Amino acid sequence: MAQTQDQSRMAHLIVDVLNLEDVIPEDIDPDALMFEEDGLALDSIDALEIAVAIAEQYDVHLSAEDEETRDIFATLGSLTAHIMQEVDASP
Amino acid sequence: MPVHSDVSRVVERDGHAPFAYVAEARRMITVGEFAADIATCAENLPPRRYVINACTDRYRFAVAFFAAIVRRQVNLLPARRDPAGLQTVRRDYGDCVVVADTGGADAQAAIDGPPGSRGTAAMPEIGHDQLAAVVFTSGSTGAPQPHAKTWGLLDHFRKVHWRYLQSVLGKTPPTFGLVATVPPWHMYGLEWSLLLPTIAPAALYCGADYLPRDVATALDRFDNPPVLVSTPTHLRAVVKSGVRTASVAATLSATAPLANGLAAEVKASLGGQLVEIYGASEIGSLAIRQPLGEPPTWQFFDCFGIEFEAGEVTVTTPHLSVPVTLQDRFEQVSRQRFVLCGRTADVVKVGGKRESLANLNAALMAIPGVEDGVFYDPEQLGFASTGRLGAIVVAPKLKAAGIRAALGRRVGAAFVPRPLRLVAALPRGRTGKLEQRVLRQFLADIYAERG
Repeated sequence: MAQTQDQSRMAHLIVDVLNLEDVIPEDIDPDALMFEEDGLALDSIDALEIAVAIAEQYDVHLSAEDEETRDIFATLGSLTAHIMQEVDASP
Repeated sequence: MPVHSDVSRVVERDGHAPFAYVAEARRMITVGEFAADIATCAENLPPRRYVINACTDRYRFAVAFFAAIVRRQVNLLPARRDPAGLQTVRRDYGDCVVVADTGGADAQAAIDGPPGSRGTAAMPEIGHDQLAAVVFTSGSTGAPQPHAKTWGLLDHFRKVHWRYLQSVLGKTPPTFGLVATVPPWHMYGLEWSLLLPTIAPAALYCGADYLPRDVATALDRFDNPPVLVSTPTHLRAVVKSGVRTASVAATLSATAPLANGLAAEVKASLGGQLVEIYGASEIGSLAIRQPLGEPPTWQFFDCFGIEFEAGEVTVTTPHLSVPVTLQDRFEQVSRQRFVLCGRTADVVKVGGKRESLANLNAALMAIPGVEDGVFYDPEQLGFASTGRLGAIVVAPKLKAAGIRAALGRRVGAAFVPRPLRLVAALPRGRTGKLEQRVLRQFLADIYAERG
C-alpha cells in the first residue's frame, strides 16, 4: 500500500532517529508490523527514541495510559494516525 | 519450641499504610489489601516448585512475586520475556507454572478481577533461608546465568538500601510516591521498585510508566514529592521530550553511567536530589553516589567486603558462596570510596545488560552468509553515544534487515546493532587483527562520506 504524505514524513523520522541505514523510508509498508522480525524488528528502546523525536517534531507527547503502547506503535499507519489525531486535537 | 528470629514479614509496614497507587483502579491500595491479593493468588497457585512470573503489570507482578514466596515456591525471573525466552526457562526447570497478567491456556492469572477487591489480610512472615527467586542475567557464554536469591538476602539488601536512601531523603520522610521506568524482573527494578516500598513509607506507582508523558503523569499523581527510579536512557528521553513534570524528592539512576551534562539537565528539570547507583546483576546494587554532590565519588554499601587490586574490585558478602570480580575498572579513593574508570575493554553494556564484544562477534559470524563482521561501541571509539552498538558486516548475499533479525534471535533485541552497515571488506591488518585506531578511522570515513 502506498504511503500518505503524513506517513512518509513519519517514515523519514523513524529511519533517521533509529539509524536504519538499510531501510528506504518509502519502502516501509504502512500496515507492516514494525516490531516484528519480518517488519523492522524494532524494540522498546526504539519506541522510546521515536516518542522523543515525535515530541520534538510534532509537539505531541505519546501516552500509553489509555491505549497499549504496542497498539500505537504497531505499524507506520497506526502511529501516524495516532499522531495526526493528537495534532488535530491540539488548539 | 524453636525460636524463629530469622524471619521477616513480606511488607514490614502498617496494614493501613498505602502500598501502591494502581492507575487502572484509580486509587491507593493499602498494605492490608495487598496482603489479601497475595493470599488469594497464593491459594490459587498450583503445587509446583517454580513460578515463572511473566506479569508485565507492576502490581500483578508484585502480587504474584510475593504469593510464590508465601507458598514456598521459587520465582523464576527470565530477562527475555518473549514466548521463546519463557519457553527456554520452562524447559530447563520443568516443574513450573507461568503466571501472567491475564490467564490463558498455558498461564495462570495473578489475580482475577480488580486489584485490592479482596478485603484485607495480615502480612505473612517468611523464613530467611527460603529460596525466593532466581534472576537471570546474560552470562559470559551468552547463555542466561541463574542467580539464586534467598528471602534473607532480599531482606538484608532492602534494609541496606532504605538506610542509604534515608541519608538522602531524611530519616522519617512523609509517605512518598515511587515511580519506576525500569521493569521489576531485573535486579535494579526488583530492589528499588518492588522491595523498597515493602520497608520504606513509599507508594509504588502501578500504571503506564515508560513513555515520558506517562512518567510525568505518574509523578504528578502524588501529594508529596515522589522518588523516580530510572536510567540515563529514560531520563534523557524525559528531558529531551520537554514534558512538564512535578518536582521530585530524588531521582535514582542506574544501569549505565550518567553523564555530567545529563545529570545537570535532570536536576534542572526534575529538581530534588540526584542519586546514581552502581550494581552488578549477579549481586544487585553495590554502590551509590550523588553525581552533583560533594564529593561526587562512589561509595560501596558497607555490607560488602571490598578488595581493590590493580584497578579491579572483588566483592565478598556472607550471602555469596564465591567472591565476584566486577567487570569495570576502579580507582580507589579511600577505604570504601572510588572513581569508576569505565568498563573492562571487551565488555559492553546496553539497556543495563552486559555482553562481551567477543560473544557478539561470534554470534554475528555464525549467521549463514556473513563472511566477516565486527560489533563496536561508538562511545568506546570516541564517537557520540547513541545508546546502542554499531556493526560493520561483510555479507554480499544478505540484506541488513535479515542480519538484524537473525541477531535478534541470537543475542536479544538490546544488542541488535544500529547502525548496521554492510561493507565490502573490514580494514584488518596483516595478521587479521582489527585495531581500534584503524576501525575508528574507517568508521569516520564512512560517515564523513555519508554526510
